[in-house]
Amino acid sequence: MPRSVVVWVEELYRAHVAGVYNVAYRVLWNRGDAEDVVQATFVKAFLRVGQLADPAKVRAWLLQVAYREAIAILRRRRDLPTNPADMPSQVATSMGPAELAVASAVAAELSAALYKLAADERVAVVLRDVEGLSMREVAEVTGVGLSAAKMRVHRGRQSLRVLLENSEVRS
Amino acid sequence: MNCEQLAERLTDLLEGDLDSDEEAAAVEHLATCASCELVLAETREVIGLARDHGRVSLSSDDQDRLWSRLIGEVGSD
Repeated sequence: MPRSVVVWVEELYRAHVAGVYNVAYRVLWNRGDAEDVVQATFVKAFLRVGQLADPAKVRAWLLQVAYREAIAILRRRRDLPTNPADMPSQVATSMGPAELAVASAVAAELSAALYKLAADERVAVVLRDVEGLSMREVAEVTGVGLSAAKMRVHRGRQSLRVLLENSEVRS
Repeated sequence: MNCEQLAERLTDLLEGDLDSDEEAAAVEHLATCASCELVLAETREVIGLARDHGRVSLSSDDQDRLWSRLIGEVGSD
């Protein structure tokens, strides 16, 4: 692989690997499989290097590949072990001990609530509210129309609101 | 706009996708309906929680390990 291509893909990788991993994990709830999705996604980036020139589109493209790879793993392995308690760290390491404890508790409670959502609604919320894609990009990534994407985000948010209603994470 | 209509248009309101007449009707309803105002505030709060705490992070060590694995698969000159 030419050095210039490796440098270019590494820039993409460093900018987007956290989002790719997050989308994969929220579909699969399994670290090892989410890492396999990261691998498969950026292998495809190497293969498509000439077609990813538009920086405005590359993020949605990567998340779409990750989402499809994750769904493919799910379909191949119906018995996939999932464990929302077996979560990697979700908090910034620059926080102090007290902030870390609070942030970890919030992240864990939110994660448990996300886990309870319908899969299509969870992915829509993750793409829109966590990864910051536009509603149109959410529709493209998940392969549905704009109104369906909006409905999934709406239902996911409302389910989260109810699930977290009596939670201490809410101010 | 009534409560049911507001619930149907809540996402469009949050996305800024309502036209000016619809937005004015929504604002008017929210000014007089505490329960819809609460739903809107709680939904905004959930969006903020997801934005701030919804990402499962990957440590820099893990990122480096996965990058090495990737380079091992595709090869590098």
